Amino acid sequence: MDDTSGLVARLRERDVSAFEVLYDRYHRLVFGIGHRILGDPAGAEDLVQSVFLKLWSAPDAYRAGNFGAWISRVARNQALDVLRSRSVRAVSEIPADLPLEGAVDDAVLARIEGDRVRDALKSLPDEQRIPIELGFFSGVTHEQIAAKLDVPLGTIKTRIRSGLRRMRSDLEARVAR
Amino acid sequence: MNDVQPHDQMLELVAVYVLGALSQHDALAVSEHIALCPECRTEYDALRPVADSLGYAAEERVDDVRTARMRSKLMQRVDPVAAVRSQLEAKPRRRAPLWPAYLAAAAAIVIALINIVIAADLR
Repeated sequence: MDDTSGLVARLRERDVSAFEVLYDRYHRLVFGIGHRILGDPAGAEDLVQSVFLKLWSAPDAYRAGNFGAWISRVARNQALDVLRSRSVRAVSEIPADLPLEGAVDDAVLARIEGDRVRDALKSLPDEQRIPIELGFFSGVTHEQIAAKLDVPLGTIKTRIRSGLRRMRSDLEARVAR
Repeated sequence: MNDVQPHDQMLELVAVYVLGALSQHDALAVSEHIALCPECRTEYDALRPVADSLGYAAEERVDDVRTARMRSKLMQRVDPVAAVRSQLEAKPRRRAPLWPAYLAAAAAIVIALINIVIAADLR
């Protein structure tokens, strides 16, 4: 059991100090995701409240795997819910939530750090990076990305896949260093 | 030009799926396919950690004031009793009275005036 899993186990016993450690460790990640998706710091602060209160009230929602990846997904999904509530888009145009079932345990994720991910993302060519960022942070579908960038849909799909595969190789190399 | 085979198209959709950029309808179809197709499952397992890591690219430094404000607001909900206690502990202590400082300043002024008068008398 790693340190974070131990903290979550204590959280299930209603240990406030474990909750505070998790907050100190992950609030920047949740705030950053909220800020990026919602575009305003006040919205990001509300997201931090919402995500950590959810963690406190339902710690069993996290089951296993990389905790940072899991809380990222929770933060992204909740931020997109807020965007949806502000949006007048039709339901069919809104992307599905990312599944929260057991986050993947993976060699890449095990030693992930913000700098490594930022560098790996930055090193992608714009034609791959931009659709990936739009897909993850903007709450739009790949059809909308294709329309926004004025690029054929098939090309967008190819670029997203190529970019994610390239990021995986890059992250593996950075983690191995 | 995208000259890809039908199953490659599905692998591309798996990548879009892990990124969270499929409509709800398409996402359901792809997730059902992944459950049945080992090749797509392997692709999903390889790419999902990458998509999971993307949030870290947005991680940012949060200034101390904002961190403390968010923490205090949160702890009021999580543990209200402890939050009140820590607020009471954090309250600034009563300031020490200022009169000694005023007295010292007044004394300095009086001494300066006396010096001026003495200097004037000596001329």
